Amino acid sequence: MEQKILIIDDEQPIIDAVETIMGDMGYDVQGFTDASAGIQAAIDIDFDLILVDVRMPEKNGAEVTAAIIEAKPEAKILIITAFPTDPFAKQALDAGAKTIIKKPFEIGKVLDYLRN
Amino acid sequence: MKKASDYSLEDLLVSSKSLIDKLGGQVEQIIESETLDGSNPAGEMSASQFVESEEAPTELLTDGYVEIALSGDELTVTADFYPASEDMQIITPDTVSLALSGKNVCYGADQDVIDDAVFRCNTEQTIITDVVIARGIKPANEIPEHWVLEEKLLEKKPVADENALRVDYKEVSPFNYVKKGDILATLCPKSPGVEGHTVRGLLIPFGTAKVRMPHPGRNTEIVDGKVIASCDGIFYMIHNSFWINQVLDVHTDVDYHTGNIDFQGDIIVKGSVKDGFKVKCGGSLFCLETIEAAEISTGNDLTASRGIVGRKKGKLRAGGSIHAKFIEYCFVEAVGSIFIETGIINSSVNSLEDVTLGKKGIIIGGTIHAQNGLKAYRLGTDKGPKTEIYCGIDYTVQQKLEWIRDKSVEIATQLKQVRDRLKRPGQEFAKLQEAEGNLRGYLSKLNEAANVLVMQLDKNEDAEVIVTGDVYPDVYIEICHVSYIVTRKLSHVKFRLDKKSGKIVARII
Repeated sequence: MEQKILIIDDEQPIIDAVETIMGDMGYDVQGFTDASAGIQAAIDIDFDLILVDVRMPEKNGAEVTAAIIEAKPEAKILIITAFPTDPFAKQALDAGAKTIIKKPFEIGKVLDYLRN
Repeated sequence: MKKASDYSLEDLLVSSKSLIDKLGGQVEQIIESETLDGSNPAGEMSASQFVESEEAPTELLTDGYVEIALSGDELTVTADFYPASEDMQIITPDTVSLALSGKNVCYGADQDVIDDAVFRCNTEQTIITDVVIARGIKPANEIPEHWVLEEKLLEKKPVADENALRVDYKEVSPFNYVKKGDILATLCPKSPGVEGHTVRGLLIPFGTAKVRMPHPGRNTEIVDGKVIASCDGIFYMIHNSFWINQVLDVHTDVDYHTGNIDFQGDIIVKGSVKDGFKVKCGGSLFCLETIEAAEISTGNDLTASRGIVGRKKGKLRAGGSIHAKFIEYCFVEAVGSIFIETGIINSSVNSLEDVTLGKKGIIIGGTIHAQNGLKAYRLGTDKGPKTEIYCGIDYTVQQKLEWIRDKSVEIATQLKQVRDRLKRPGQEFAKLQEAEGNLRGYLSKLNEAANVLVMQLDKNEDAEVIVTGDVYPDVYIEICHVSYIVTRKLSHVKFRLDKKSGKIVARII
């Protein structure tokens, strides 16, 4: 069965890149620039992996992670950041995100988490 | 051996006189006692004597004798000599011969030793033990023809002590220099074996000795039963082969006087490698001064005695391990381990083995990839640059994946633009369609490669980050793609991946 990836990032080009690249690999990618809509999608649909940008205007990555984990504790969330020591990234890890991936995204890590 | 019945009359008379003399002395004693105190102690004395004689242990009178024992391998016979009681039969050499015969010893008796032990035992009336009175002969193994290496070539070279606060890298040389024509080994001819004998006269066959059989290799020649170096270079021996690696000895800095260097063997630079120069070396590079913003590539180890000053432009790649006093502002990668004595500052340091710093070694800023783990005294600073540590992952695969990622993002962006254009009708439709197909094909190739590479990440889930001093907030640690951000200052701590929880845990050490 096709694995589903959700990406929540306020930068459309990042979403486009992930959709194009991971889509080509056979994954079903859905992207949201709006954090709230992304959270709702994460709650409504069972995604195999969720990528969340750490810095977004409406909600930061830690808040998004916390909201999703609250509704779906088993959700596998990876935080996208340009700086791994960003304090929001740390908060997101504390909220239940699995790991941090560097912007725009890390193919190796994403595939690694999809397989495990 | 004499028996009691064989005593001569003279012997008997001598022993009788001795007995009478002793009794006479006792009689005189009794008389003296009566005279002194006027009492009649004679009766008491007699009674006392009687009692004493009843209680006194009776000495067992024995002839002198010899006890002998054979070693397990029947190559030696040891004997203990016991003297005769007074007036009993003393030991003679015949006594020993009889004892040896009794044990079937017929080879290797040392008559001088036996005579000496017998004489001493009889005259000094002492027990003499552990006297080796017969020896067999051990067989001598046959030694086949072989090369014997010059001893100086086998001497161990000093190595850096990782626990030392200071390491004098001038003393740390892995090299064993030889000059053209130096003798490396001499042919030792076959030596025949010799059979041995046990003390019971049995032959012991000889075997063949196991000797080191080194084979001469590259840059050596055989002349008159000797292996000599056919060029200046460094002596190497691995397993049973030895050879000479040619060495390039640069007595100055690597600069405009030398130009860039590309050499297949080992290189020793007595000076520095200056900014902007390139050194490519098929073997090991040993630089006695600093390596500056240079490009270095070695097939084996790289040592920078005084450190590496990259100035954000330096690039070092070693096929073996790297040893240096410090690294700053440099890109460094090694297939083997990396040992840095004092510190790594704002550098990208990558090892497929481990990264170890000296006893007070610090890492400030930069990115470290150490597949099998990292050990340092201090990580990060209070307000300094960000320090990132990645362990458990093959960084070369990671780099390839990052390259694929960059290319994929580039293509995905173009693909998006082409697809947007395709939505609008125009004359370029066919060309755009072709471009879209090409880009899609290229992207698929990159993705296939990524899928293959991700299987080669070669994780080491046991990799650990050990900090013997302090680790400061904002240090980022990742083990096998699992993240950990240090939020408060920790001391004496070990970070490892807890496989059960899938999280990194910090434990005080």
